[in-house]
Amino acid sequence: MADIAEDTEERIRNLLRKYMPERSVRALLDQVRESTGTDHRDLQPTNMSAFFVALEKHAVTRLDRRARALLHGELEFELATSISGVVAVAASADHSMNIRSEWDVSVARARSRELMNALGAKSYEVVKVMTLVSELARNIVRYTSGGEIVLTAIQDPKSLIVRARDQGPGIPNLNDVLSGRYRSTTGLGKGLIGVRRLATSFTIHTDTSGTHIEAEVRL
Amino acid sequence: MLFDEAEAIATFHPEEAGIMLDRLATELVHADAKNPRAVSVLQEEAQQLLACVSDWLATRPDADEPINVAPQNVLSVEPLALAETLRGLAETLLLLAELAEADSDEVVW
Repeated sequence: MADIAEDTEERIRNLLRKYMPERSVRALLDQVRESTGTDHRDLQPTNMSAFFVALEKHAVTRLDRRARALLHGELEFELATSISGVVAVAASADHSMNIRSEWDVSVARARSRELMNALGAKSYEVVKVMTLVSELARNIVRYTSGGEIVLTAIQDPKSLIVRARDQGPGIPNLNDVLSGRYRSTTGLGKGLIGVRRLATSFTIHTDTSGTHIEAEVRL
Repeated sequence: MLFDEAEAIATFHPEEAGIMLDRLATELVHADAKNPRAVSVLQEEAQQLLACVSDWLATRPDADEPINVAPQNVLSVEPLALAETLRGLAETLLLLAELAEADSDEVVW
């Protein structure tokens, strides 16, 4: 755990230095320590999530609106790639993420990896789920104003259920998409077909009020 | 290590791998433009997936001609060039999968 804490400490410092001078970084970390009782040099899975929340809360008072949005994304990414998976898996079987930005796609991808690892998935299965999650999250960012990805870990029998929901305009040419007649302009056109191919089970409901997709990968 | 080599080879399916590579390529393009911090993570994933693909291709008994999988050090390849490589390989794998489905006697996995 010491290695994780030291590595995270350095990444937090480097991240904050992009937004403020070193003097402000030190002041901010002091402020967070006083409010949470957690020193950034002693981060553990049990206190890291609260630390990041406090860090963002205190940091935003020092930043303009654009920098706040950027920092929010970076902190989410940092948390997801550090230990949020450990915290999240310990806390609950359901993991809901708002999907609106580029960062959110990375966070969803990273969190699905952590969850699958925590479930004891084989590496090939982990990549399957990461692929599936990033496809669904990317679609939400690209085609809607925002949505949600919910990951549900099932322990017996082991599986991960991915639910993607949005209130976008729906998929008007769903039959073309699922039959392979629709060709994406950004890839090989395997988007939703790929999700269906990688999943053990796949359902989709779409209309003009939004799209709801559920995909399950059994281990 | 993302991939256990033996396990990955045993469970490998070309269509699935093609889909994964295509998605990695798309994420690399987006990361290069908007999310540079994610690039190195994706490069590492690409390197490991490519190693798995390379090993699997080497096990194909019908491989008349070698398929060029990737540069030696993926981590040093510029993201857009890597994305192009991944997408090209994804196309090849998807084609192999289609051929296998069309005529399982001619292509042996």
